[in-house]
Amino acid sequence: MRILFAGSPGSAAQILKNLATHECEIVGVISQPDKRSKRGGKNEPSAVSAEAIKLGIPLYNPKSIDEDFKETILQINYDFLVVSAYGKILPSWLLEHPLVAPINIHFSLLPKYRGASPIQSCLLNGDKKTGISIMKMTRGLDEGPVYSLHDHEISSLSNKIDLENELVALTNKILFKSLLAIFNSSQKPLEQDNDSATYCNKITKASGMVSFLEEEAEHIFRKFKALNGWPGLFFHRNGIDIKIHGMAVQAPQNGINISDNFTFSKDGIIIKTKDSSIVITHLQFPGKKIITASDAANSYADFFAN
Amino acid sequence: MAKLNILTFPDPRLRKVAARVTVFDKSLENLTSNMLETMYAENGIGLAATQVDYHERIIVIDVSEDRNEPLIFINPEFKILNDKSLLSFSEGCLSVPGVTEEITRPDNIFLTWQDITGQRHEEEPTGLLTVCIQHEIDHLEGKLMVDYLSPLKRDRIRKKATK
Ligand SMILES: [Zn+2]
Repeated sequence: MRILFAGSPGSAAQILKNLATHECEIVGVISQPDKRSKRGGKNEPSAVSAEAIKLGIPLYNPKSIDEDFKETILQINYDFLVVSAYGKILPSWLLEHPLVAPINIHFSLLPKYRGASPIQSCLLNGDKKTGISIMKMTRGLDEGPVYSLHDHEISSLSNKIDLENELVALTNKILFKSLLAIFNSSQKPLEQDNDSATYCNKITKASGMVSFLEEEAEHIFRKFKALNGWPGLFFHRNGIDIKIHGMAVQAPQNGINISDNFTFSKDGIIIKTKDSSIVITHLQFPGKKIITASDAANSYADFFAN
Repeated sequence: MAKLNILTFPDPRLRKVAARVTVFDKSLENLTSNMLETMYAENGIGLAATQVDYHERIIVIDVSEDRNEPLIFINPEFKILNDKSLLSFSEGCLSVPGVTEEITRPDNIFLTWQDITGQRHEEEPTGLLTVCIQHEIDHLEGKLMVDYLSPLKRDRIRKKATK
């Protein structure tokens, strides 16, 4: 079984590394060109490029997938093109060239969460279950027919980084077996039900902004888990973006008036949301240290006064 | 007292699971005071026995501003009381020098432990202390901060460490 692999980030590098331990020949790796390092100096290869070099596999970093690149690739024969987060649109000739099929690993149970942020999106929606799809690649956005779906249960504490690691581990468990099944039995993929498709967009800095009165407490809490690490969760007050470092969903309490926007209590800063309230326990002003809510009550009382 | 050598990533000994402490004697007292000395010398806020190549369930911590409130936890264990209460702090680790990563952890836990005489205690720590305790207990399980990193970052650290 001969494979041409295409991918760029660390998750794809882990998948490539695992695939290389199985009985198949990886005839080449396509990855994004090296990024110019911010400090000048050396260019930084993608994680997949670095892994390909380590494994001694021929590496292609085309700036654009043009005629020159086409000529090079069409000279290679392979059974599968395996794509994991390559980050560029692939032309028809590349999808048609594999002898068996072009395969894409997508981190959701398709047709749910087609697009760029399936991991964050299932956390934002509070799903109990997600998984991976082994799909035959077509030119559309994650629209290809699916060979197999593999479920994964989401723990109530999982953040984005946990879930990505778990889905990579699941991929490594099933990918080679799946390819082998497709190779040996010429398994036919099933068309997706396009009517039940959902889509998710790229996460940006703005995704991390909270508007307390417009969002439900549970949703704010999910954002905290899904956007952990980057971009993080922020709220805007008096012209400043304040980062949230500790929060809890607050059960409705007797005796505490949350009609005001910000109320200091022994548990933290109680903030009214669309449906109930949350408590912020730790926060950070730009360029400052993380402080507790009681520090904020002492040092920033005026700032939070209505 | 003596400063101990700290194991660094990717040393496989950091992956060992620590055993329960059953003997509370003078050598346990010596080990904990050496661990505290090592932690203070390295400007850490916590240290697990695993990190100094002793594979017993012992952690030392000091999260005080003035670095004068040493805490010793033998056989620490915790239960999560509320999974709707989280902290997200930027964590560093003496065994993974030069790297910090924001990690979410439960803020509301019920902790039990023994002191160096073997006496049992329980408490509900919060804030920085609860994050630090969970980080150190991870070490006792053979888990490292880098278990939680994206594979890309983990690769970068490994590359740096083996250079
Ligand atoms: Zn550590």
